[in-house]
Amino acid sequence: MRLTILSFITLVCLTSCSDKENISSEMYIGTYRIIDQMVPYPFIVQQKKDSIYLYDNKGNSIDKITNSSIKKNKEFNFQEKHLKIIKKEDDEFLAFDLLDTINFRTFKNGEPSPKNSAKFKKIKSENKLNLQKVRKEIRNFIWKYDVVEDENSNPNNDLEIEKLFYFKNDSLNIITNYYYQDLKTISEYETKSYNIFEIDNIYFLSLQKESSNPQPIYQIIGYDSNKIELKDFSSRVPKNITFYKESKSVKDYLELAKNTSNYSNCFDGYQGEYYFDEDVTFNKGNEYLVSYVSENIPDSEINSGYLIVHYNINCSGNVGDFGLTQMNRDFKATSFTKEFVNHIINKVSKLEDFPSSNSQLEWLNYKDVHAFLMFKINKGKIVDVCP
Amino acid sequence: MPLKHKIISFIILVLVYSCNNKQRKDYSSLDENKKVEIANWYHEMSNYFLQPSELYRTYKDSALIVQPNNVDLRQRLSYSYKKVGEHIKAMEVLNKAVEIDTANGKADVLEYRAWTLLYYYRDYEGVIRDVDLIEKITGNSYNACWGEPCGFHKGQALYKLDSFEEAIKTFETVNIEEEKLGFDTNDNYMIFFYIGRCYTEMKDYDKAILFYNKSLESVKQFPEAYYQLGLIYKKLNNNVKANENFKLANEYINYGMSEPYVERFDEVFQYMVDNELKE
Repeated sequence: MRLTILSFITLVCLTSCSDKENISSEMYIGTYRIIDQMVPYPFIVQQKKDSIYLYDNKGNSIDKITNSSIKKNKEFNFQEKHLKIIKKEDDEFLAFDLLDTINFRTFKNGEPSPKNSAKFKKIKSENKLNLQKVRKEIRNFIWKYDVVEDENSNPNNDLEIEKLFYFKNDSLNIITNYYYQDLKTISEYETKSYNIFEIDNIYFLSLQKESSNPQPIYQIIGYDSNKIELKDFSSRVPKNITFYKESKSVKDYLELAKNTSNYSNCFDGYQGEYYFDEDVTFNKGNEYLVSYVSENIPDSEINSGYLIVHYNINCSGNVGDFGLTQMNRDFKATSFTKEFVNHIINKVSKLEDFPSSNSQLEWLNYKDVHAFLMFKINKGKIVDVCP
Repeated sequence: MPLKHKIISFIILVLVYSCNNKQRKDYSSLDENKKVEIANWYHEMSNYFLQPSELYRTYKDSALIVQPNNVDLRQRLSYSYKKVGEHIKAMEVLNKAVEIDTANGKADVLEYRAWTLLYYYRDYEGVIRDVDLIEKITGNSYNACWGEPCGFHKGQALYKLDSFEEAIKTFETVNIEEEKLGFDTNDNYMIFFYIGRCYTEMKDYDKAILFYNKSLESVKQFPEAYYQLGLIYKKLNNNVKANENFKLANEYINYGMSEPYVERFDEVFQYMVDNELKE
């Protein structure tokens, strides 16, 4: 009898341990692909019992493979994605989509290149949220994000960048404000689509544009009536970011949006450099720029040095996504007056004569380029422009 | 998979999973050959990534941890910042390389910096200072700065500082030195062009015309020279000749001085020619 009881207990224990293993759920978020370009890869992969589920950037389960394990399988062969696992660690893995020959470039011999693979990061449930409430409440307010720059940002030492978000029912409106010494210099406006969704008590905010322009998925890790806390996986080291409730009313925001010029990249994932192919430089040259920018320039500046305005030129020839660096004649950081900086940035923002920024390079996809203009200043006068 | 790809793949995988490990190794006890080998390995690996990328810079930085006095690596790292306009860092890296190189009695990095200061920073005083120092270090009055004679750079810097006579003298010295080396200086159409520009600024139009024509004898498709000739003839009220030259500038506009990365001095753009032809 004693032996029977002992056997029964052992059996229960073993079975329960085994069950525990089976029902365990693991979730991985697609972060980016191509490790020196970091293009968002907005998919989610989940292990649930003995199946692997694939979700799109709206939280829809788009495929499932049974009798599979993220830990053990070397390939996840979904119908439209054959993810070959290049490397696996405890909390992340690299995958190469063998079916997507455009976005996943192989070596010349056809072997997957780890550099061009996509990185998935393991995520876990954080705070329990009432998603219905989140969805409803965030639409009633404007949210402010003081941009935390990373390797995806344009070079910028001297501008404070804030984004103001308005979540409408069907779209997300974004105003980007660029401040220099507390003076708002320029603003840009763009719209994207968005989704807020949940998969097994893990919450997400995803952004969308055209399908050829992938946007990141953020994990929502906290929410209260004053702030939305997110985890951003789009840089090499994931970072926590916070959107704070802004005092501005929706009405004021919409008025502001109406008076703000539109700018958006044609491909947010990666911008080429102006010199990568045929130079994407201003069609009228530097001499023209000196006289154009010097028109009505404030005469209060007495400093000398260099003022570098960074920006992107998008596929329509518009400029936006600004950055600013100032240095003296010894190439060390300095600062010019805010009126002076404001004038120059605004002039640059209105430039239009740029050639096409679309990549003509077979091996490198981009639609917009990063460029810059460096103004050489002598006692408050622009005397040269480089490069 | 070929061995090379296997190695590259392995390294990338190691990198991806170790990027947060900031611990520095101590390489100082290694012998020089081993240091060269390791630094070269990091250097080669950096070239696998896009030049302005964080990964390219990380690998170059690693190479420099092993070989801090490797000025070639330091100079190459500066390109990654300079090309994308991160100039504070670019010049910090480059100036350090110059400091190490010149302390060893060498002018290689200085030659590169002179070229950079002229075309990327338009720091004319800096160019003159560097070219003079190059001549002092090498003991030669003719040196090459990144593919062009250093004297050509100094001459352009003097021209931009309105020191026209000294600029002309400097350009002529380049030609004299090149003749000694057996070069055919009739090919130096850029030098003739900038001598022409100096004479134009000095209002010595006859000499200016002479030198623009000299440059055109070497290169017929040179819109900048035609444009400058057009401007001179316009000043001299010879509208027929002015128009002839503006038309030639227009015809050859696609063969201008345009350089990758930078704009040369006195480049001509279509709108400039159009404006003259409209008049």
